[in-house]
Amino acid sequence: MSMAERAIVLLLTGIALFVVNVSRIRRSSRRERWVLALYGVPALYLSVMYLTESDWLNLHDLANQSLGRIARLLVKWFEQT
Amino acid sequence: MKAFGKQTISVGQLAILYVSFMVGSSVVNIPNPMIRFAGNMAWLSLIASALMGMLLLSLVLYLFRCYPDEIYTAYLGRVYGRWIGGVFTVLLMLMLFLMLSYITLDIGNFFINTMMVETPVYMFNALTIVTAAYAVHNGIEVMGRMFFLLMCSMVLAVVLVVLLSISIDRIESLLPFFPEGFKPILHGIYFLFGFPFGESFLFAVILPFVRKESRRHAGKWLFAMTAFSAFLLLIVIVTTVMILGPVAGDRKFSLYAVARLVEIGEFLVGLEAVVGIALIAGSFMKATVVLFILNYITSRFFKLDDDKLLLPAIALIVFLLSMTMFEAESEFRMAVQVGWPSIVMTVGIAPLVLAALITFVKRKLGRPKQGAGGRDGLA
Repeated sequence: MSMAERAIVLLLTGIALFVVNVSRIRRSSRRERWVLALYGVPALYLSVMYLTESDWLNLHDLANQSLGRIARLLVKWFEQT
Repeated sequence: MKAFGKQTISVGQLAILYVSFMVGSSVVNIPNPMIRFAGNMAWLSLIASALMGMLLLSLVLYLFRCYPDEIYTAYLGRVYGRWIGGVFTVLLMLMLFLMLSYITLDIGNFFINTMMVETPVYMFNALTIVTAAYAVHNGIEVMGRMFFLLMCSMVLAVVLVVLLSISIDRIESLLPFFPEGFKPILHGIYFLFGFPFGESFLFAVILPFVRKESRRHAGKWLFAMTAFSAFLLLIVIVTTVMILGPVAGDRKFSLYAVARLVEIGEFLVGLEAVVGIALIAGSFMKATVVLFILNYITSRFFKLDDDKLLLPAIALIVFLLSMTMFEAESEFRMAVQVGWPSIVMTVGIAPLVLAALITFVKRKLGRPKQGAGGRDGLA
C-alpha cells in the first residue's frame, strides 16, 4: 500500500467525520477550540505514523510495557501445569 | 437535535444497549480463546465470571443510588477529590481509546479472515468508525431504537446456528471434566471477567440517561440482561465444543466456523454469510456504545458546552490507532487475550470498587457527602 493510497484513505475518512461538524467548530468558543487543538496533536502524530509506516511509540506500547508485564506473568502462571 | 445531557432512554432501551454491549463482539471472539484456555470446563469459567460481573454490577448500582444524577467520572471526583479523580478519568479515557481501537480492528480482521479476504482492512476500519460516529452524533435515544433490530438479528443468528447444528453435536466432546485441574478454569475466569463481564462497569456512565420514573427497574433489568448474555455465550461455547471438539480452541471465530458446517438437505447451505454479518453487527453496536461513552466522558471532563464537538477528532484518532497499533494479527490477539483483562481490572474496576467502599464507609459513619441522597431507588 503506497503512501498516496494511505493519504487518500486518511483524507476521505477525515472528511467523512468532520463534514457534519464544520458549523459546530465555527460556533465554538475559544476555549473549545483549544481543546480541539489538543486532540489535534495525537491525531497529527498518528497520521504521520500511518502515512510513513513508522514503528513509533503508541498507546498499545504504553499499555503493554506497564500493565502488560503483570498480565504476562499472571498468564504464565495459569499456563504452568 | 438535543444535547446528549438532555436525552433520556427507557429502561427497555437501556437493556438493549446493555445486551448489545455484552454479547456484541464477545460472541464472535470468546469461544475460541476460552476453549483454548479452559478446555471442556470453559462453561464453568463463564458461569463464575458472570457471577463476578453481577457483583460488580451491584457496586455500580449502589454508587448510582448514592449519586443518582451524576455520571461516573463526576462521582470519582467527589470520592477521591478533584486531582486523583481527574487522573482516574484520564486513564479511563485512554482505556476507552484502546478498547475502541481493538473493537474496530477486530471487525476488520473478522472480514479479511472470513468473507472478504482480498479487501484491505482500512476499508472496514474506516467504515466502522465513520458509521459509529454518525450513530453517536444522533444520540443515545436513536441508538437505543436502532439497536433493537440489530440486536434481534444478532440473537436470531446465534439461536439459528445453535438449533441447526443440533444434528451434528457430539455430547461426548464435553467430557472429561477437570482434565487439568483448576488453573485453566482460573485462566478462563481472568479472560472472561476482563472481556466482557468486567467491562459492564462502563454502564455507570449510561445509567443517568435512564428516565427518572423507570430508574427503579434498571437494576432488575441489568441483572436479568447479564444472565441472558451469559446464557447466550454459554450455549455458544457448549455448542462449539460439541461440534468442533478439541480443535475448537485453534479455530478463529469458532461460531462462524460452526455456521459453515451447518447444512440442511441441499437447500440450506452457505448460511455463514448471513450469520457472519449478523454477528459482526454486534461488534458494531459495542463500538458505538463505547464511542458514545468516550465522547461523553471527554466532553464532561473538559466541561464543553457542545457534547459533539470532539466526536470527529476522537473517531479519527481511533481509526489511526487501529491502523498503526499492530503489525501482525497475532500481536493483536495477544494484546486482547493477555493484556486487556488486566487493563480493565486495574484502570476500570479497581477505582470503582474502591469508590464504592469509601462511599459505603462514609455513609456508615454518618458523614455522607452533600448531595448524596438516593432519591431514585434502584431495584
